[in-house]
Amino acid sequence: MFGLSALCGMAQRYGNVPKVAAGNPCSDFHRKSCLRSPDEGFSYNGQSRSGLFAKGQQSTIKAIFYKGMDYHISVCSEEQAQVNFTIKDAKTGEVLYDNSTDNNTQEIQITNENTRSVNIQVSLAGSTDSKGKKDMIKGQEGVCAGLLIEHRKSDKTGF
Amino acid sequence: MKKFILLANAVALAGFLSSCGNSNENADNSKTDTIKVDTSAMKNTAPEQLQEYISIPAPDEMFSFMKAIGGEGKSLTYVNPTDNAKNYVDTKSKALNFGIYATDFLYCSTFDYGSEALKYFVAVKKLGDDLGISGVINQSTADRIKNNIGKNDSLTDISNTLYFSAVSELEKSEKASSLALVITGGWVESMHLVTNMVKKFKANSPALDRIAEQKYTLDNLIGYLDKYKSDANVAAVQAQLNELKSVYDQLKEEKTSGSVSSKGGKKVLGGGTKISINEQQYKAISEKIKSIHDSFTMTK
Repeated sequence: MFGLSALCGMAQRYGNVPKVAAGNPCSDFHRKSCLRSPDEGFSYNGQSRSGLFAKGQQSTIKAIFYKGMDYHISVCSEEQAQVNFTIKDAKTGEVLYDNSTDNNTQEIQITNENTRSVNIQVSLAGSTDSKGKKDMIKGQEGVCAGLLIEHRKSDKTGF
Repeated sequence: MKKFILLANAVALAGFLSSCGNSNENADNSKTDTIKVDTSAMKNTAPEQLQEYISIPAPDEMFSFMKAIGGEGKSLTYVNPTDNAKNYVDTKSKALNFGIYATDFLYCSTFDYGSEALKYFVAVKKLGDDLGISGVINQSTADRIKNNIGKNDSLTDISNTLYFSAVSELEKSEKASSLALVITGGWVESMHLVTNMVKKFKANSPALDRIAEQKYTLDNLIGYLDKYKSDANVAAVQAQLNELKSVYDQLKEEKTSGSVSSKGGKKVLGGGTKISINEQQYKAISEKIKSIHDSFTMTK
């Protein structure tokens, strides 16, 4: 067993983990590192997440996107490791968006014609230097990655 | 069992969770400065293994939507009286009503009841202290509320920050079952308040559509609670929500066609499923919500 303070201290010494993360190496990483929408009116969405990613690992966030709302979604990681993400309809499995077919963009804005339950699958393409945290998490490489979701009510269109 | 817990912790560490200790099986672990890491369990976790986290939209998304469509029907009649706070003495009612009062605080901030907001902050602080998350509910927040009464946007920001900070703090301190109850209390309260804003059934109204679409949120919430159902309090609450789900499952769902397009720099996700609700179903949902809500807020 590790004391958490020792664990985080070790991570900070290697310089790869934000020092603000006293209780969690990746706590609130998305709030601090992912791009916010430059447009007005967006608010933080509680479905945002951060976590420690091993290379090649994929994680899924089950989320709800309501109709009549715009969502700004951005992904980010330490050391600018590329984050891949797809949005799938949770009911049908249909791929609604895949950033690998969109120049690997790390932020998008979406709106929905109907409220949807979605699975946002996030994976880390790779990291440049994760030696320190390789020790920290017992043999697996890992860097912090975040998924920031913001929302606002959609503008009315048409007459 | 031990192996399973350790594996769950390892998964949590490597997975896309916001906290080192937000494992699937740690119900109210009071050890806030330790983390369980088992290397053998790690080795068994293949890099390509899919990890899953279920998110629940926070109450502010519902309230900001209701405000944006006019805020009709807003009232202080249905918030939980702050006097009740002193009567919540067990862990279950403290956690549920922490979520309820935090949601009431947000409701007051969003719908122009600034002077009431401070009372709800005090109730949130009392229960937050009892739940061991007093660090995020401090005097400076109270001062900010006092200085911003009458400034709705600022108060809403403060109440949202408080809600998300409390959630984050519960995740960090491995109080998973308490967090599950807090989130449930918050969602039920938001539904209770909104169903009381929409007194009259009007087919296809945006507010009713939003209430119908809570079917998906409820599904996620039940799935989330399922991870912590080894805790008796969570299991009891999940059973109540399953009764509500059986009502929601009667709503008509219609698949619509559509594709993904781009418009003005944003992706428009067409198609999906449209949920519709009739008057009887709305009445049944409102009544079930009230029943669950009242069981949460009831004082002994």
